[in-house]
Amino acid sequence: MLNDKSSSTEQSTKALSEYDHTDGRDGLSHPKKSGVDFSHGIALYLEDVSVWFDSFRALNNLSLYIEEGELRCIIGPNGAGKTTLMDVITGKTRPTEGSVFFGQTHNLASLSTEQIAEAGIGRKFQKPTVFENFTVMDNLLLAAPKDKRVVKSLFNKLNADTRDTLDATLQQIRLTDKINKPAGLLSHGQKQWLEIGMLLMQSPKLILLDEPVAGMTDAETEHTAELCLRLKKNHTLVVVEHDMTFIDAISEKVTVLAQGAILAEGTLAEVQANEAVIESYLGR
Amino acid sequence: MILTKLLSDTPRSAVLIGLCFAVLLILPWLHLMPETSAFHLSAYWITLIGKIMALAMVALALDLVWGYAGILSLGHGLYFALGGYAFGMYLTRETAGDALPDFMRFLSWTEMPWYWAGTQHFWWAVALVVLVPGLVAFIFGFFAFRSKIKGVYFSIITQAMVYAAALLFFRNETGFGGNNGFTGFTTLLGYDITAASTRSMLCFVTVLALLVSYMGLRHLMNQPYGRVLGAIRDSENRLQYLGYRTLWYKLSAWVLSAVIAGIAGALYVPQVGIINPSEMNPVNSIEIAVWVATGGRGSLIGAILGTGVVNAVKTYFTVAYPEFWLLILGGLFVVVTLFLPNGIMGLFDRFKKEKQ
Repeated sequence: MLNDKSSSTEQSTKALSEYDHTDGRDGLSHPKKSGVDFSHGIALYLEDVSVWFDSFRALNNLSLYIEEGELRCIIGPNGAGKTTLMDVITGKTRPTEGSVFFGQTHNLASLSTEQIAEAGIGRKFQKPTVFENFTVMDNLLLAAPKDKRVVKSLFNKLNADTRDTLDATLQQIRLTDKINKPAGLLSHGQKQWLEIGMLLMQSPKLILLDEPVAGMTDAETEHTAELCLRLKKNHTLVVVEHDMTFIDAISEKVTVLAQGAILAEGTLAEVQANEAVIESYLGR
Repeated sequence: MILTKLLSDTPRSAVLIGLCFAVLLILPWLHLMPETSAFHLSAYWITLIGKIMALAMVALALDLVWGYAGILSLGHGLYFALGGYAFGMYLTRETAGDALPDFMRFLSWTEMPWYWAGTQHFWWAVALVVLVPGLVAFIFGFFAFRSKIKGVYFSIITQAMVYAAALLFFRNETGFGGNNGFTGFTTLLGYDITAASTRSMLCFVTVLALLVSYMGLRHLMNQPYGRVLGAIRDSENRLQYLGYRTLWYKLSAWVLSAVIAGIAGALYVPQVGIINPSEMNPVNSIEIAVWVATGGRGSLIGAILGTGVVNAVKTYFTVAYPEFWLLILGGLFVVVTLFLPNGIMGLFDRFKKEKQ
């Protein structure tokens, strides 16, 4: 695993130096409309990212590379900057310094939230946010269309493909029998699944999950882990979580954040044995 | 099948709503019955029905943005009045013939302002009825929504807008007849505007316009578009993370709403025979919100029903006890807000549930 890690870092540095020399800044400020370019095998680049809230550094010179098809877990004590990291990736917060790239061409620091979503980044929030007055089906259908412009929304075309994806998704999130129930009446765990289901419908390239098992029972957590592993087959995932059992069930590589910077990277066992990590969780 | 779907969710209420509209479409023609007939309806009633139908269209327009997208406008009287003024220009030109309209001669103007050009043509006036409210709504909406102005702040700005417009139209220099506005219309497309057949036709066209807007909006709200608007009301942020550019959804609904209000204004003016800046009184615009709230926001038939009920009460009280009307209006709003959050339609739903 350690070898794996170093090789991936090597690869990403290579990728970075390549774009620096060949493309230059000008080419990058005009992201191509067509598709995301993962040609170097890296889905997400964060380079020396800092976020300042007044004098408080929420993120501090953070550099992170997520490979395409990877499932990366991010852990860290409260206030480590996990949610800020998600906000930076989805365009909610702009980095004070540093660069954030999605693939080779999409400069996330200059795109709006909608553009980032359109480029293929989906996010599940810490607090489940579904459309409470809408039925489970309507929630999923809202996430479904590839083209979300007004003109496309004027015609009802629930085609066979969408119908199939809908049925498959409902089964995966175990809400088939609740299809016409308002989302507001679902249990906490079911809302979390519905939100994951919306991500499945949206089918983004990169999925960010912010505490997907918070407030879930053990059985629900287990099912969510299964869902994540299934998602991994077709998507790149970044999961922020506190629940170590859950992380143990899904993780390959874990990144530990503390005070806005990376403290350690490796398998769960490795980081749990790391002195600095133990220090940051327990001591101070 | 398609028709029932355009009228209501359940076949039974669709039949009921269909019947109501059928009756409303027949009523205007009863004015043409001989006065001795038991079925004769006087000009008073025809005008009243036509007036309320036009107002119901404005309520529909407000329900689209408020009930669905959650954008409360307290200035829809602006778009209503703009449509009314646009059509009033045509009626004024018809009355004046080749001469300058009266109010311009009183101001000793020798020629018409440039924006009066072409208003003697019916179709250009009709185009203005759609274009002017639409354009004003587009410009205002674009900047307001792009600046992410929401909730009560947005409502206050719409209120200020309609008041500012009223002040502008009060000025004689604006070229719209100052505080007298336009009145004394004689003909419409060459027909005597006070003739029984013209009145019947106007009332009929208004009911028809209301029916078409109702069915059109119902159809639209059953498309994914309606779902997105509702989602904007619930959580606009979440929708943006799904990749929706909510600005364009809000703006399109806002412009459509303004256009419907404008058309309603244009139908209203020839029936009441006057348009002046008092239509832009902020209180009038707030009243529209009261109709929608009374009927049940988020329900299109509720908006129509609310307009009918409140205006019927208003018609009675402003004659019988004029000094109490404002108190009653305020009381109604308090009662609806406290006890009927979903208006009359919410009351129906509650009955239905208790029956089951």
